[in-house]
Amino acid sequence: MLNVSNISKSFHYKPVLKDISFSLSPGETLALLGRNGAGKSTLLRIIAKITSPEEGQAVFNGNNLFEGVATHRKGLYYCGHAPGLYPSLTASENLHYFSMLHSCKTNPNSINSVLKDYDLIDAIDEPVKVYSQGMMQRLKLSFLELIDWSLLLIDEPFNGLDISGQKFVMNKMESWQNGRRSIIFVDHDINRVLKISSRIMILDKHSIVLDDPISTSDLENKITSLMN
Amino acid sequence: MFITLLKKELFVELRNKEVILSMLAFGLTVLLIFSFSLSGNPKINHEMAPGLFWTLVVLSSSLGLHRLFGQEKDFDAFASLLSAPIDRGTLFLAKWISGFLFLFLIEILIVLPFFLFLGLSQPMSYFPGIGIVMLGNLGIVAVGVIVSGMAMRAKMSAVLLPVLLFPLLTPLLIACVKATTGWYHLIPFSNWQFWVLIMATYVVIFGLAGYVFFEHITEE
Repeated sequence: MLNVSNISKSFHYKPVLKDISFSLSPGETLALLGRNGAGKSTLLRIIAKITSPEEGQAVFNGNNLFEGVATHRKGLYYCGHAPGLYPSLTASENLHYFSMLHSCKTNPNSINSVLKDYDLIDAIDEPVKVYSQGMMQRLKLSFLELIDWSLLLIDEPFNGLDISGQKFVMNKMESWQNGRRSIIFVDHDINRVLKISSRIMILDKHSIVLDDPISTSDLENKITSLMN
Repeated sequence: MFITLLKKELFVELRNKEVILSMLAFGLTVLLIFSFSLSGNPKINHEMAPGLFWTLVVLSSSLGLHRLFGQEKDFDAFASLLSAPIDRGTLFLAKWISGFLFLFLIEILIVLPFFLFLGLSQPMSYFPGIGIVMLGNLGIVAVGVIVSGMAMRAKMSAVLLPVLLFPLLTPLLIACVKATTGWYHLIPFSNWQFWVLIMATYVVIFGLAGYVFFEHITEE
């Protein structure tokens, strides 16, 4: 599904990523761990073609993402730290607009039903700028119910959420693991990562220092020692 | 896709009126200052009118161009746009045309006060003037969207925008002033057609450059 090879990136001559290569198969949920500044978010932004790498390529469903052909990004959805929404538009307007950009047609009924499922129906006509962080996070994720995606890149999906919100997102992420869709997510909580991912990758000093499936023996200790 | 993007630009602006109101308020203030600082001699005002008009336009537009990506910047909606499977050249076109429409609307709103405050005589024909203004707007906004897209990611975008924008616009503004002078002072077209050609060349070059290079301009 996704083949990343030899990606390198620096900011202001300071290396952030060096020669990063990995593959992701359909159905895999890959957790990206690492200290602050390890390059996790940058890696996601490079794959989503928001940041350009200095070297390397990423092939998604057989198409090179860095060739500049927009349709090569079809099926890929990036969900960053920031809300990534238009603050003055309402939840339904944002969902409708971004669904259209992903070539998915929506109607008021489908949007209402998704917003109801994500417990946002009461704020449907409010501009997104008045939403709390948890509401915005739920709204970002609700978009995934409306578009046809196969690869989700999600940066710290549990950030700013209360316990019920975290549980809600965990359940959703588990429900999306249906064998066809793949997820790469950034997180800092080792216990949670062990619960919901099928594979764990740790970035340190600009490189991959661990890339193991969840079934690897003594993985928790390995992760803990590397993270410390 | 272009229509979807353009409709969203217009819809967001109609809801916020962020770009239009800031440009209009600024434009009217500058106009008021012009009318008080000039001698009041209609002949001198008539001579200076084309230059004053384009000064007004470029100062007002710089304010609007600074906020052209404001909505995308606030909640990083730009990341969602860039990662979506849409051609970035089309993104540029939507910004270009919406920016052009906002600027044209401002000009419609300030042109009457401009003639009234400066005591100017009505032009003999309107259509050539409208054509010059539209061409000038297309050039200003094309350069503006490129520079604004570049400056958006910078920490000092408020400083970077005018530093890059004004030198790039200078040749276009000279052509705009010369062409407007030719039209308003009833000089035969053959004497100022060269300036119209310069304006058209500017629009084509920066329009194409924006369409082709917006992909690279917008990436971090």
